Amino acid sequence: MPETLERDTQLAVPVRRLRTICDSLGDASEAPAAGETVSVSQFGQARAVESLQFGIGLEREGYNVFVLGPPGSHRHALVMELAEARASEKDAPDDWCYVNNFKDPERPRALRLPAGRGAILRDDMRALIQDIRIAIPAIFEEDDYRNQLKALETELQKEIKEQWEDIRRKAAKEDIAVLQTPSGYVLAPLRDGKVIDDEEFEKLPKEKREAIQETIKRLGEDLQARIESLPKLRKKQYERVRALDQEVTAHAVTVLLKDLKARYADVADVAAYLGEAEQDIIDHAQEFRQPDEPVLPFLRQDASSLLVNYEINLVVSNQPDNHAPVVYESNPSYPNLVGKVEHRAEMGALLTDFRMVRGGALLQANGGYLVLDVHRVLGRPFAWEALKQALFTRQVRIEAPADTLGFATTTTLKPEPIPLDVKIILVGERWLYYLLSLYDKEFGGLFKVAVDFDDDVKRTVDNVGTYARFIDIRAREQELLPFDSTAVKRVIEQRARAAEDSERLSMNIRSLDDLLVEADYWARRRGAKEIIAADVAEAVAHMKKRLGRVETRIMEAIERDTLLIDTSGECVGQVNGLSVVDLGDYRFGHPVRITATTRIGTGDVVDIEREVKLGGAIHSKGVLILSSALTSRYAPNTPLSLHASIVFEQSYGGVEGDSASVAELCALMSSISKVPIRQNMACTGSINQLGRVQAVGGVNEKIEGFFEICRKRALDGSHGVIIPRDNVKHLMLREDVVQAVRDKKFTVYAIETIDEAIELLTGSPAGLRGDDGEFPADSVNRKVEKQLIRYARQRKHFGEGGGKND
Amino acid sequence: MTDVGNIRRVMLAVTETSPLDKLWQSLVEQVAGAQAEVVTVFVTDDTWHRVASLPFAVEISRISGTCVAFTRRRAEQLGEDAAGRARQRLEQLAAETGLRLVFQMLTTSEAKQVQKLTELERDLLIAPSVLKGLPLLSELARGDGQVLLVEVDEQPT
Repeated sequence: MPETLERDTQLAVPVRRLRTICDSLGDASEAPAAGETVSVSQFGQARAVESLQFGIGLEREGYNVFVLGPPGSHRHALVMELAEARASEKDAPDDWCYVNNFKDPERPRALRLPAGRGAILRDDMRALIQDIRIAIPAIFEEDDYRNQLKALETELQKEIKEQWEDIRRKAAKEDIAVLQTPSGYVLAPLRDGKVIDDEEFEKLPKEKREAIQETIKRLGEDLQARIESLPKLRKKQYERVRALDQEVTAHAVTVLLKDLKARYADVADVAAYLGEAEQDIIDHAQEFRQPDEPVLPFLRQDASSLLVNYEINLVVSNQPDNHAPVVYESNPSYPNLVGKVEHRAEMGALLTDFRMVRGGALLQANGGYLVLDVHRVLGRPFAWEALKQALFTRQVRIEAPADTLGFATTTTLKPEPIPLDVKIILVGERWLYYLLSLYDKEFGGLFKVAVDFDDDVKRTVDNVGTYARFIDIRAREQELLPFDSTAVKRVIEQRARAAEDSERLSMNIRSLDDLLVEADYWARRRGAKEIIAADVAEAVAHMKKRLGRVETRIMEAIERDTLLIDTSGECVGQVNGLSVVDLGDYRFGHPVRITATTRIGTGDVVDIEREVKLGGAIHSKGVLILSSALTSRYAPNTPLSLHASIVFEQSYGGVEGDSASVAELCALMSSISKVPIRQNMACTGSINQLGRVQAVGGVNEKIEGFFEICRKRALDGSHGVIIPRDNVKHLMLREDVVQAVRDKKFTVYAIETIDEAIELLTGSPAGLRGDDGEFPADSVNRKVEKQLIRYARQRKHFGEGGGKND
Repeated sequence: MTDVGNIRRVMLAVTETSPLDKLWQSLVEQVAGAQAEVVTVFVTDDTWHRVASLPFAVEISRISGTCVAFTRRRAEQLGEDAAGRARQRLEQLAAETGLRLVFQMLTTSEAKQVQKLTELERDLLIAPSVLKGLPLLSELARGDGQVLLVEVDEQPT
């Protein structure tokens, strides 16, 4: 066997390592009893559960919880489960009501009552209002009240009449008439009971005329003084009537409130409020006399509108036999979180009162636990700041964001803040946690407990068993057909594939559920009573098919030679690299042609992707590393006198990652040495400066992508993919790929060094540096080094004046 | 009692202070359903004009107590207002009882008008007793027909 062929065989990954099948479900897979639940915490989230229990249990300021983890890991379910468990040990918190502040209606008062009594108080006050609506107007209709009122009116009229009669008497004594016009009084001198005119007046002696004028002036002033005193009389009368109204109202209200006050004597705040309400009703006694119909139809200034002042706005209501609340707010906008003051449009104006104060999730969860999705909180204007403010001040202040910012343009309220005692549990992705930790200096002090969910669990025998039981329970919960053992094993294998690791199982429960539900669909479609492995495979295939439009188009383009990929022959400076396209829910791999060109230069390795800004930072880093690897491996004592350029051919999008650096270095070495590269192979892997090949991501998709092209062009046994040896543990290849390898139609090679890669790709020995410091003759490395030394000499020659045109 | 069937025209004399409803009631009783024409003579008192002629006459507002000069124009306005109110009420009463109403305003000094009214053919003159003894009533009573003085309390000025 030739040396390189033997080497190829040594590097080939055994079939059994290509897909670690699940051949046993272990003892733990025994079917669970009916009603039994297997929590995710039982297989793999022990750290998260412990952290969460700690965070939920430690009731100190700032010990709020941030649950980190990817979507689909059932973070919410576990959070709710543990929070509910803890909440069930705690009593139901108090009720909270907003009531009218009789002294300052713009600042509604908050009333705290034991759980359940808020609703009772609200109903009691409604009943009281009904009683008042009937009882108080009724007392104003009673004869006793009317008689007293009439007596007061009579007294006033008597006083006014006396004033009038008095002035008339005085005037008559002095022969002066007091005449009434529709709007006033006129004083005129009389003779024989008849008003004299100017002619008669002029005939009177001067002294008499002056005396008459003086008398009229005096009487006029007296009359004026009496007229001016009339408002005082009327005010006095008003006060008397008011006192009467209050007296009769007080009696009625005291009777109505007596029982109520006794019932709430143990709640000091409520007792005080009832006292204030009683006094307010008495103070407004006269307004209850008005008819229920508004003065103008569109103005609600009647007794009914007055009575609403005594209503109770129950913002937090708990049941006494319940436990502490666990609230999940799916839309944590500012109003939904903090609360809001609503308005009603009336006569073109926006009006509000204490009844329109609405509590948010913070109040609903007060005394318990509030679960929020952090990305939603951050995405809602003002919500994050409001949440922090509430946690800092430990109270909920309900006000519009515009008020907070001083932009209020309409009448609004400033309700009394309500003390807050709530544990916030934020659920979000890791990057959000790290971002907040880094940029929000207040975050760390408020969310001291991080709960980090694992993305996957070790594929141990016990965990496989538990996972099997979990699959069974999920199937039952969703009323799916039972999974037989082959189906469960197939699902477990798929979970390893989802974890991109043959030794781990994905904890993304959402994608697990999707797989189970879709397998159930295919089983039912064929009329089966249970789900078998083929149904799971069918589900996987159809998921791929549904989402595979882009992949199909790329593969078609390669098949039709629109995208140029050779799968046979040899070529200098050209290698098949492997790329992964991530579409969110779906990933696939496909080959990509990488070419390198070289000539004499000053040591530059140009990454064309970077030059045109299509290469990401990590890709650029990979190219720089391979440049360094090249320098350190060859002609260490000679200046690198090379100009090389590397490019991903027909790549029109961005290129990121360093997984092509092995392929790129091989293309470069081929170009320098002029040793051709086999096109029936593809290569992936990153390289370090010492030529060590390192693991990369998406290895399964990459292998399958190249396999697919080769299969379409007919596998002949020469095709294969080179991957880093460190990636072998990640292999969970498709069954058809494994079968092709088993049939010796396709090979997967695992390598550790760049020399192994170049030997597989060129079929020539790479060559190790001997004791003499030289690589063996005809080795690829020798050819590379030789060419680099040649470039250096030529460069030197040009530098000495031989290369004037360079 | 007048022969009802012959009553074609009734003269009703009223003053500024006459209780119109009571006088009208007396008139209706006399007419007793006949389709008669009622000629109302509103006899204005010259008291307001006499007061207005005094240089120091003022009107004191009932609401505010403030004083404004009591002028001849104000006196005329008061007379017109009183006549207007009386006319409105009498027209209303006439409409209710189906009688035709002619309204005349008269002062004691308007001799020509009195002459014309005296010459007017009428079957009955109704007047408040307060006018008894006044030359004006004597003038009006000179014509044909019966004179009925109704005892009523004049409303105070």
